[in-house]
Amino acid sequence: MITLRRSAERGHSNRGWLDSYFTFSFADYYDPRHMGFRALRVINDDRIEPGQGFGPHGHRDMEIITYVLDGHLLHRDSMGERHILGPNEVQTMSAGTGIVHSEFNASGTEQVHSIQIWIEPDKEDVKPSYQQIAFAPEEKQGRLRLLAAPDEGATTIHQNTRLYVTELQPRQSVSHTLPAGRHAWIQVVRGDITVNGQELNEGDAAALTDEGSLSMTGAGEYGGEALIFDLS
Amino acid sequence: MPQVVVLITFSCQTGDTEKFALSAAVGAIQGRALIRLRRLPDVEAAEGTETLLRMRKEYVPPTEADVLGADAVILVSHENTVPSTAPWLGFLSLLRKLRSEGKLTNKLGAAIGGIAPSLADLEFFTPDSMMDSVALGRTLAERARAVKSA
Repeated sequence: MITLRRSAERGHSNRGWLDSYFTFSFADYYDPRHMGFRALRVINDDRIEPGQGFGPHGHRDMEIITYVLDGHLLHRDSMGERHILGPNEVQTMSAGTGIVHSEFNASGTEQVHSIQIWIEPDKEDVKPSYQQIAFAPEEKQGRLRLLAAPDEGATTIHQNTRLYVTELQPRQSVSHTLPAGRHAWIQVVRGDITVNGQELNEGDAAALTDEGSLSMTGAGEYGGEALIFDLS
Repeated sequence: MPQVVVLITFSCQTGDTEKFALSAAVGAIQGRALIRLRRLPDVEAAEGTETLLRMRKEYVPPTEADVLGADAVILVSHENTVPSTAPWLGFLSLLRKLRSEGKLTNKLGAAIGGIAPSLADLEFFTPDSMMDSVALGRTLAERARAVKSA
């Protein structure tokens, strides 16, 4: 079964310095029909104006993954980490027992377009941690690049979820097997992609349950980029 | 389990006291509280260091609404700070006004650093010298929850 979540149906907030689209309920956007999918709790599509950002705030017991599409984000946290995150990188923070962090657009001139993801952990009170990895653009082109998983190969999260990214040219395809009991959430973050025959445009998403496999093909004039969550 | 909010207000020019405030915030989160971190504004708009410019950008000053919306308040100051210094004068006056109006009833308070000894009239909890700021934040969050549950 495929359930579509169209871009225009998402929650939206524009505070001037921050223009956000919420796939699931977040902050002032609340829709009990869209509280998450499996362990996936938040997908926020944020555009942050130059020099602006989120001041120090706290998190607890959440796996927080940030993926930047354009621009650069400056991260600081109570563990003393200070990093700049850009395209073709992924940042994963396990909030665990508690963390305070801030995120600001590192540039005074260019906007940041980033996706922030929250995944509920499978255990509480883990030691807070921060990870950031970079990869070559080719690693996501025409194939799946693992970004986060409970085991080795990417950043580590405390949940039986695997997060991939792929970038597909028009008519270029990738597939992924979903064993029995596994589910998938596909979030198109750029361009157009067909998922098991359904065309999705930027900001659209699809939830897959009992599908067995996942086939994605670049569509439109330029193809597209998507995040793929393989969830228990 | 009732949700509690802990307001952490600090003054800092160099980033040193900010670390204690962040530690207290982490402790409050460990105590399963929501946190609000606020920095008292600079008295003089002196040319800032990189750290000072960053803090000016990242933090907003505390408001009366922040205090009224909190279940506990933690004040973090440098050990050499005295309550009569300008960044603290206004905020402590606000707290005293709210207390006299009965608006701090059932709210807990704690202070660390130079301003702590002179807040007896606010009936703040003053941690013993062995308690670090993380433990202070956690303790206050847990106590605030107990008060709210009662």
